[in-house]
Amino acid sequence: MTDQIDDLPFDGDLAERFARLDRIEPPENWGRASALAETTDPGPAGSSRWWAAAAAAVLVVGGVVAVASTRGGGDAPFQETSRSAPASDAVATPSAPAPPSTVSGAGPSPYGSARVEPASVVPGGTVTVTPNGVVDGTCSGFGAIFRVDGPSPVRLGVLGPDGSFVPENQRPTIPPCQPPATAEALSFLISDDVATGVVSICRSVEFSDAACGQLIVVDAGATPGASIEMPVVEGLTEFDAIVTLRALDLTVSVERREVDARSNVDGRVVSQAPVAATSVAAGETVTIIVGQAVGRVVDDELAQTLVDSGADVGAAPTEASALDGATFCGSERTGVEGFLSVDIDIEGRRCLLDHHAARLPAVFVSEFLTGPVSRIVVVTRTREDGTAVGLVHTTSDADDPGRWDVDECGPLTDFSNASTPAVAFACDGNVDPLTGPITIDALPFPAWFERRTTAPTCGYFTPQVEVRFDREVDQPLVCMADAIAGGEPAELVTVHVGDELRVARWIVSIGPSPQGTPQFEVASLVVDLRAGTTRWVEPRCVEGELVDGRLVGDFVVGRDQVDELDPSGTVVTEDGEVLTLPEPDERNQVQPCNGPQKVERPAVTPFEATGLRVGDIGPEAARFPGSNEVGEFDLTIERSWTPVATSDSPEVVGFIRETGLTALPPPDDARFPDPPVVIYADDGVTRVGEFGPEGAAVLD
Amino acid sequence: MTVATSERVEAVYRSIHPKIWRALLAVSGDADLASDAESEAFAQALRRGDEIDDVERWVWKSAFRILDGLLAARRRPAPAIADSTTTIDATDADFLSMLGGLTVQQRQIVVLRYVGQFNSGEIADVLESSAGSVRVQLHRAHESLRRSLTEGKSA
Repeated sequence: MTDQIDDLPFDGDLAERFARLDRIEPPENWGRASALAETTDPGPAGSSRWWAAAAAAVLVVGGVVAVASTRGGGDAPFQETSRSAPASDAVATPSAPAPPSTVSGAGPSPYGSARVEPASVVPGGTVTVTPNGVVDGTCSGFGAIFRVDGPSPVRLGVLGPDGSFVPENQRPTIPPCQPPATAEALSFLISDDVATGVVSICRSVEFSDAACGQLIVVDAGATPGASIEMPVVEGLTEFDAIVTLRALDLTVSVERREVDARSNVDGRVVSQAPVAATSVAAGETVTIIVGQAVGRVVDDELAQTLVDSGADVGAAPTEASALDGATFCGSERTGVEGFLSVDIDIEGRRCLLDHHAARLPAVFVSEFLTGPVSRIVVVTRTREDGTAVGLVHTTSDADDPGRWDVDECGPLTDFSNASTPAVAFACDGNVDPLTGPITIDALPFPAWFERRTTAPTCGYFTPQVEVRFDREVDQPLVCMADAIAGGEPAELVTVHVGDELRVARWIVSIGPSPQGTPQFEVASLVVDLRAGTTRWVEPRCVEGELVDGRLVGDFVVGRDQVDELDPSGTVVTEDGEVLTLPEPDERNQVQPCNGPQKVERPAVTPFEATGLRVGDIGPEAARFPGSNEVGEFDLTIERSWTPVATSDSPEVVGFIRETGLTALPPPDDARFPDPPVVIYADDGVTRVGEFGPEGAAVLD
Repeated sequence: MTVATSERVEAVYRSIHPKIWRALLAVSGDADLASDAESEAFAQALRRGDEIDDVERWVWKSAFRILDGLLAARRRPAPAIADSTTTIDATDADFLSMLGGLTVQQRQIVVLRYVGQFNSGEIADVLESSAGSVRVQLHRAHESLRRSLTEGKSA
């Protein structure tokens, strides 16, 4: 059941399903929002770093390559850029160096740059946190413990001024307070409730580089000299192994061993001493040997790019690490810090999309900096079968270490909310991949095309492989609409990618027909994926409508027409049967448009002879099914004539043609303003005036 | 933050809280994420105070963008129902999972249409898209959901 409400279709069944959701009682969130507002830096540029990381992570959704806009000011939500300290300032506490990144080596600590003394503590002990700079808007006396092994810091609980620790799942209450900014140290008592291991302890209740630093909380049971069973750390990343061993109050010594670059042990523990299950004393030094790739096989541009980005080439799937005949379209680096302006490779993106549209293999590398030491590398590869794949490397992302993920995309699609950069694409696994045999012959342009009188081009529009330019997606259609409204010639090419056909249509506006309907010449380049042929469909004249900025007319090239046009006279059915077809019918022969024609008004029209007016005989309904160029809508268009009188006299002075649409939303008036309403004489052709801006009839 | 600001934002919260939370739930399939996004949006609104002219519009926009970020941080939008406290019966859970089969943008649009009761221009404003794109995506979402509903009934 489909109805129409407002300007959008409305489905009753779906509405019913959504209405059921009203029975789900939402939790009360006002108190939480208020607390967040009180405890986080104020102003458009201020927020906790976790959100900056989350905002940056918008950049990568299963291979999505897009950039979210950053806007300040009061009327737009922020997605702030990182305010992390530069690498030179952001050092870990000297006595407890941060576990090394497996990709980028030394760099800013994810724990923050505050000084924590001592660097490790057993529950019951006290630590002092000295901010590395001024900490704004914190609540005096309150601090917090964060886990930072994920993409963003997760608060484990709040340290109170009285030595208490309230775990986050118990919803700690933080009183509203607006203390002055401070750089003073603050001591905290570490209770038994604090999780053991490596955490970040913060001078404030929110994570910030300045307020936080690394703390190792040692298991209270691991008293010095106590016997501990050596765990298995072989195979773990260096980071995980160090965290595991330190949590057991063991001192860790790291040694390196060269391993083959194509092995999957680069950055991982390949050996440990003592071996697992051996008893060791708390505080004893144990040794881990970590694989270090050497002799990287850099056999093409792609591999070299990955090496430069710090990705683990040795563990990479073949599609990510070897070009294997694919075109290397380039690479780019974006990230939290000023990511809108960072090294976006527009040409590379366009190269990838062009290859994707042509079903040619190509590769593009995107490196996203998601935090001070975190980066994610995405290799997007297009394939000859029309699919694309995103190969995502997250080794240096603390949340997801040492792994390559593979996201099958189907065709690349438009990324919804990106307003910049000029070209963006997304990997959408929900879209079925293109199928069918691929044979794209390089056809020369036909003679008529070469001889044509060129018109200003509006570019091209592809609804399937939606490429985002530095303008609205449908801007080429808007351009064409403007040209038609202005009576100007214009050319537009649309590309339709279907399961069986790929059709590029050349459309040229040639002015209105005698009845005022826009006319187009339309020619098509049809790539028949099923038959493996490519051909031109000669131009023919069609009448079109302009509906909501879209050209609507009978210029869909369907399977039947393509089959009939096969010059070999044969068609291969889905069962493999070869059928012989008759000659093409005249529907597809060249039928040039006549262009605008002058119509002589008869001395006495039939209506005048009968004394009737057009409006008296009811609407002249012309109903026909149609579809837009992607075949999405079945239209019913009704036309009618309505008599017009002036305010001075009840006399009918003319008629206006009205076109009504059903089953399709009306045009967006804001973007496509209605053209002037022309008043015709009762022959339906001769113009006698138009409606003025105030809605009154103005006769010529 | 002034008392007047807090009262102004809280009034908006009281008027739209159930609707926006359910919308965020329907998009994310996760009651906790819905609460996170809603709380953060209102917290930001409180911090900005009088800088914001239209709090309701701003919060809708913010909450959806924040949820976008949270979903992205989780690598993939999760259609699976994850929830810590809220009770969701099997029928609704199935429906939310069905929504999870849509692209994120389609899900956002269909939710804003049916839960938010917005028109195309308003949805475009929230999602910073165009009204035309909203119509096309809603059309595709309808087709997909109808297909899923039909398959669900015939199964």
